[in-house]
Amino acid sequence: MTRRTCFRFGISRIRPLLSSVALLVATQATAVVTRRTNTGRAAGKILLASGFLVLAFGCDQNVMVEPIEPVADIVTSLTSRSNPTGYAPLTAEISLATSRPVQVELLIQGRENAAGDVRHRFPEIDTLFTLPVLGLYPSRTNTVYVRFFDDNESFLSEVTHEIITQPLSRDMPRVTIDKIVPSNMKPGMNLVGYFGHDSNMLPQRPFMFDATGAIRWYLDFSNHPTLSNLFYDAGIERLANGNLYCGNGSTGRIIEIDMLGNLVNEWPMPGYGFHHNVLELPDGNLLATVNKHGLRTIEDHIIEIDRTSGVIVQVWDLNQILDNKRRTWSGNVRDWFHANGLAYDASDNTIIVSGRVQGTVKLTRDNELVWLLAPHRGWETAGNGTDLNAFLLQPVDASGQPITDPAVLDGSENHADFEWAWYQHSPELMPDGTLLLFDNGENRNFRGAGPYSRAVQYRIDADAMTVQQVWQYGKERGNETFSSIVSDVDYHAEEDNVVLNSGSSYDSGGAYGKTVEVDYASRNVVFEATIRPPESFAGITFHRVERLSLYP
Amino acid sequence: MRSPRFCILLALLITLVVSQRSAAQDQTVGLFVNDDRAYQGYTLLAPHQHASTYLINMEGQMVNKWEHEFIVGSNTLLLENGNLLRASRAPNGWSQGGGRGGRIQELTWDGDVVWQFDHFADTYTLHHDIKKMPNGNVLATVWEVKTVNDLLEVGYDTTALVDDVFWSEVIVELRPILPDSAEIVWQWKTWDHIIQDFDDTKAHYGVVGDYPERIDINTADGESWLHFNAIDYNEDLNLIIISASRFSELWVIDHSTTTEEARGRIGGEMGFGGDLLYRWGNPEKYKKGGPEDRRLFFNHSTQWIPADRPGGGNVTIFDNGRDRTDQQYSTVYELALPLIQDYDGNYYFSMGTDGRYEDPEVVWQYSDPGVFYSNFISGQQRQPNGNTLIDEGMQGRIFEVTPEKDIVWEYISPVVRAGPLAQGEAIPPFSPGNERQQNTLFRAYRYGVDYPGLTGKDLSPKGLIELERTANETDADVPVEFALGSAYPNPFNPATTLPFRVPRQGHIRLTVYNALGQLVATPAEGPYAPGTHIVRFDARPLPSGVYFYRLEADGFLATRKMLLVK
Repeated sequence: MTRRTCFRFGISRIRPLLSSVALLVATQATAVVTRRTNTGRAAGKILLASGFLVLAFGCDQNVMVEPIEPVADIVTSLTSRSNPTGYAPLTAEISLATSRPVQVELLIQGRENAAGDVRHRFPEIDTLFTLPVLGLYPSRTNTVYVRFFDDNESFLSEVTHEIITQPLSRDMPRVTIDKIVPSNMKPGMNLVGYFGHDSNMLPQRPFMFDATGAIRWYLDFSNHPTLSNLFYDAGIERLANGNLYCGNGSTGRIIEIDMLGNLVNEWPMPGYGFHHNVLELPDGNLLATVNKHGLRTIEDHIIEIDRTSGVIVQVWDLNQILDNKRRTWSGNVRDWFHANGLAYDASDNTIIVSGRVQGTVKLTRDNELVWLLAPHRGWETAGNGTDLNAFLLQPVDASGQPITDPAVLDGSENHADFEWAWYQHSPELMPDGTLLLFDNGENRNFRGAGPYSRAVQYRIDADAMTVQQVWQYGKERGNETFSSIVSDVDYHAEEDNVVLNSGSSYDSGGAYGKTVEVDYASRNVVFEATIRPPESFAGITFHRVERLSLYP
Repeated sequence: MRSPRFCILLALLITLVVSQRSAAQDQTVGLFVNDDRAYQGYTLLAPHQHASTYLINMEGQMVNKWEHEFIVGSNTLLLENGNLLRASRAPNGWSQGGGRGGRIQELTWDGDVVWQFDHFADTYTLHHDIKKMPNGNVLATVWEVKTVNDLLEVGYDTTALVDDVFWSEVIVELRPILPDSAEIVWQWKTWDHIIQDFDDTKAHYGVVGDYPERIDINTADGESWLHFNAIDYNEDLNLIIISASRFSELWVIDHSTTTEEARGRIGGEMGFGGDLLYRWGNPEKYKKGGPEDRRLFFNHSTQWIPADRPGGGNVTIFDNGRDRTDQQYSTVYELALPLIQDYDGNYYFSMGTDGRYEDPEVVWQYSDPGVFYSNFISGQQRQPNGNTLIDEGMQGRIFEVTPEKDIVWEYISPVVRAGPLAQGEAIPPFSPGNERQQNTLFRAYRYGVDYPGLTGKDLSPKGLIELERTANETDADVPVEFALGSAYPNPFNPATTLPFRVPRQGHIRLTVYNALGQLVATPAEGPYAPGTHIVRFDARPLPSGVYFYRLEADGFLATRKMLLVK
């Protein structure tokens, strides 16, 4: 496998950016750098590109810019290794030495159009660089534009470098973009907590796809010494420091990895084992849904781990806080709660826990129940003796009046203004403090009504102990976005969009997952993609999808 | 060596027994139906009361026969290597307990013993069932004796105490060590999973209904209060299913546990250690229901249907139905247990909101009230073509039904306590007045023509099991004169049976006198129908010695002697 670097004197095409990229790398051979001198101008094109111009105006036409400095005078060495860790096939690592301090930008042009562009400016000004290349396309010779800027961010020149990648793993899915309104959607890649596979279900392989549906990054730990059975369940997300993090159900640990697939950190949890979800708290600590070893029940404890020391600083035991004998939603004696999602409420320093087969609960730091969002059927006494009926939220209609119909309270019927969430996932607090949930709709109204799943927004008044449904999306999509298990909702505050991520849907073509981003006000779809795996994992295509930039 | 008692009995049968159900010319045993819809193969018969095993073809012809020293105790299987694995009675083994065994033996096709393992003592014994596991080990059921003191220690209410020992159940996994030993590599004990709500000062105290996964010790209503009579192993799920017959329940336990985990409440793939994972049939046993919730009424064979057969993964169970309060009839059920797999791959048995394990789905069932009834033993086996082979054990009747319940193969075992009957000969009762017959069959299994254990074997027909009809047999439906037969057994302790025959409807009187000529008992008195009758005489209140029994009827008088030895 060879790679070639070509020095150029400008950028031939500059396109509007997407700020995130996915990448792929194939081999680790050292690139052969071919230099051209300024005589390259003889090619007749001296294109002067300005990063500033690109960022500020993002244009589609060629921009002729004069290079400030000949590239040959800047680059003294440029080599690359594709897939440097062996775990991130669409990545590479460039080693670069320059004759003068510069700032470097990498650009990989979109295969089809600018929506697939990956561009990243590294903030450092230096003469020696080791740069991660993210967002390569699989199975092709990728041209990477390496662009240089001075400390005033003025474009100096650029060089192209070719990196060859291997074909995409057969485990990866086919992604179809069903609709896109670029101007209204949140820019970025879609990080998929993927469950699909072709051969082995484990390790799970997270991936990112761009706005064109192309997979631009994924991890495959099949040959990793400790992550070869990675099972992250609720998926993988990004820490504040830019790395990715998730729990690994196979080892029971929380892990931190970088975009190249390097294992950066691990947090064991003696006495416990990870399942489902981990959440980075504002102070950096980690909140995790866990199994406590030595119990007959599972998935009913929450712990907080001190990020620095690794010490478990707090434990929430749902067996005490709730009634582990309530079977209203499930006959599973062991996995009676099934904690599947966490949220943190900074306004009162509480946590919100979604238990798939009980409901959603808010808990204080003192292990006390604040409220309980679930149909009122079947609640009795908590393990600690508390009468749970006192914590049930009273639904109110659109005008704020209590809904008193026993059938609605019980859950067997809906109200025109209100529906309970059924077997919900992915609690998320919106900026105004309202709660967003993925209402799976499993066993809806205790009779499988529907089927439909929803993104549903509730306003909860913890003082009045009321809950009001204020927004929903998905009911109108019916079976198309129905997912009885897993799944996710997100709110993009800047764009005021809500994303419904249905991770386990089916049609005649088999299992698929769908990510649907809608405008909050109009509910118009601004982006929609369908993901079809070769094989699902027990019907699951993914658990969650996050929109984020490729480079941290 | 056959016991002299068998010879006596045989003589009795030849001279006295006359059919009450049909003319002797009619067929009484052997093959009755052989429809081409039947699953083709060979059927294993292990007579319950005679120390032999037979493999017969679809025409009822023997293709192999094994003779044994002791009768079954109780299950017999044909292994994939062509050997026979049988639970057997053992010399000096327990003298009481239906289904008692004490010995497991593996015999070659030719009857040579390659492994024989005795496992009994005063405090424990093998009994009832054995199951060959894919790893070559053998699962078996064992009784272990618990005393009243043992029960008191776990909060037993002795108010209604009826026995002074109780047999608790153990399941052992044996690794055979040829030729005569075995290592117990895993075991599970009922005793480790007790709950009681009687004595809060004793162990395992709690609300019974809150612990459906445990066994209420205060349900112990007698010696064999649990009476496991069937187990089966599911390799795919690593689970064991149990017929807890005296509970009228089907239980499931986890075999993925270590023995240590099996003693506790945590561990194993299902997470609950050795506690019950599931139970069904009689929720009153764990105080989560009443008689109206009962679904099983004394049960026997229970089996997982192999994955490659119709209904694969489901469970079949033979409900004897003898504890029904209305009409007594048996039912074979095919059940889909409420075993659910989470998307993360974990299995669990679903429990209802009422704290009761959810009912299984009845996928298929067979019953024929008034016709099909066996009040003990019995079994069933799903065939690869979807048919079900049923052993109506009390009658020694094996029949195969299609899913639509057509009988496509039917055979009645001719082998009674004394050996094979002659065709046309009436099948004697198990004991006098007992509706059970002497040709009882604990189980019956069909092995397909492609069964590995039959490869290379001589499967040529070697004649019928039943004897040919003889000229000496009477053609009459009823006896021609009164007769008083030999007591069996004799000598006896504490009970024996007294046979007599009645040629015509009339009043009879059967009395017992001691050596001083004093009347000590009247086992039978009153009007009796024509036919042969056998009554049971229990001599427990009487001292050892010689006794005389006398039949008086319509001018007939006969007296015979018997010896009670205590």
